[in-house]
Amino acid sequence: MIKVKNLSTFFEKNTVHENISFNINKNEIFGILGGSGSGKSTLLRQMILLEPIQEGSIKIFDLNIKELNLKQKDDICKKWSVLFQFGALFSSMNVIDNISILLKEHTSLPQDLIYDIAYTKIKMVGLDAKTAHLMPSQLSGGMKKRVALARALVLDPKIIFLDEPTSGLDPASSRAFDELILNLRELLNLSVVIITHDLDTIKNTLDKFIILNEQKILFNGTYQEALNKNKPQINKFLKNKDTLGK
Amino acid sequence: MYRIELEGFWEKYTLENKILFLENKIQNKENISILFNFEKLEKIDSSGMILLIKYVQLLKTKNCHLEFINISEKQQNMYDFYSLNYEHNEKIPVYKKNIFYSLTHYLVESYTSFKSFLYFIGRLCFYFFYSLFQPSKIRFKSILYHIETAGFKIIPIVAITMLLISFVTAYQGALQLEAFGLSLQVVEMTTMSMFREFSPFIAAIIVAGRSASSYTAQIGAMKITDEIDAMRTMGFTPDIYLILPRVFALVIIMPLIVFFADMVCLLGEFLLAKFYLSMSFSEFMNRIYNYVEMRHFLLGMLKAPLFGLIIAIIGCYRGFQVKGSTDSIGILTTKSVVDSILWLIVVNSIISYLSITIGF
Repeated sequence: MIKVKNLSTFFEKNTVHENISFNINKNEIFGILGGSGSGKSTLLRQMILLEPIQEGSIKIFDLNIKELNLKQKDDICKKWSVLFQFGALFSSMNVIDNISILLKEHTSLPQDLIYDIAYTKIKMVGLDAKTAHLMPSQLSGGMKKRVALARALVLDPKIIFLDEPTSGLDPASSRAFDELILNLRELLNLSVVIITHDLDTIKNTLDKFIILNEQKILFNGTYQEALNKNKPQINKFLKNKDTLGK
Repeated sequence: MYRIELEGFWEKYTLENKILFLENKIQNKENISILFNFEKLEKIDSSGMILLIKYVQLLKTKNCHLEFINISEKQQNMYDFYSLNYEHNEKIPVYKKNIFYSLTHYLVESYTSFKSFLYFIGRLCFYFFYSLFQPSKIRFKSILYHIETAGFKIIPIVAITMLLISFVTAYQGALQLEAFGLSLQVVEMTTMSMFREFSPFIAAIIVAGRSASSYTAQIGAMKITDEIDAMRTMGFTPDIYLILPRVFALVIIMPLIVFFADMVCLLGEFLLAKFYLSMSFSEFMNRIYNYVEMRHFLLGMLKAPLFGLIIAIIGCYRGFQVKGSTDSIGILTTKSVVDSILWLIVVNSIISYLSITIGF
């Protein structure tokens, strides 16, 4: 589904990535891990066309995203969706409009069905229908994230990119979030790309992940494989401090 | 047993004809069994499924017995998942506001806004005197920065505006006065009105357009990103760090801008006097020296800091009113420019009237 090949990125004098390659398969929940400043977000932003690709290539749906024309860009944007770290809700619209705007713009469905779809998605991400008429500034951080997820899911994307989806959520909601992602993957044939630090998400949700370290990919594989390697550099992403020694 | 065959693609981009299809099929159906056949359904997405659920719920309220056949496991899962989460909400009716509501709402709003403005001024005064007694709290660097951005970068536009305005005013005056044979008088007449009214006022309007808006936008953006709250928690009072430097900067720079504007006005008039009235430079200066009293110049210079104060206070006050969304930055920036120009006009008129009555 996504093929990254020999990707290198530089910011002025800093090298962010050096010649990294990996593949993400269809229907896979794929994690991107790494310390702060290891270029996780840059990599994600390159995949979703927000940052230019300097060297190497990224192919999504077998299209080289460096060479898309306008029409292809439009189409590809309808096939994926992105959950930004802080939600990135449109602050001038209330929750229900934030969610239904995509349907209003891209389809010609009647208003009441659009609202039914939007309300269903709100409930699906664990929010109450009462929140529908609040403005984003009236929501807490965790609620914003859920609304953003509802918005991301409204067009049934093929790929969904999540930037730290569980940061700022309480543990119970985080687990519910993980379950929802697993559930949706089954229902919608979703491929999911997650940037995360959440140990439980890494353990229970991810099929495969990469760990970025010092411009390279330190590890690429499943959770079990990572445990088997038993390297301290890898382990710090897999275990709590107090269980590290054991 | 009534059968409904679901066919083809039930996806959001092509769903409208499926709505018609369902509407037709279920018209006037009550108290019967209905069989949904999923056999020929190629693909269904969440929008399609929610549409189906919507009608299923509708039929259930009409006492219909429903059955699905040939439904794949995946479709069944999808159906279960979405019907668990299905939510139908009637659109919330929008209440029309009547005129009494609007009027009282407006009055209350103005009253609270006036009160909060007084509070703002009071707090500013407190911190003004506080920083006078503790001069180490005054942010000199910040003041210089704001003097530069609000004062120096404005010079070209002030120069062009004042040059043209003084030239045009003098030209018009000269044409009118020519009929009475008094065209030379235009020099002192224009100079007086320029010194007293036009140059401080127009300079202030230009500053208001540039600085009031930018102060509101800067402070508003800082408020939305919680920077101001962060400052408060670190013990940096926003009044001392953000507002007072801007106020000081404009109060200091406005007289200088007005002085510059006055000089440009003289240049504009001299150009006219030279080319239209064939007056020499010394003649021109003599006329001004003899006929234009110092008080005209001083009045303009005294108004200037007051104008600077009005612009800075309104710009900052509106900035602190920003709340919540990015929309409010836009609204309040507009308000700050409109308000500051309005208050400039009001204050200028009052001063004008008073100065004439007391003969200054």
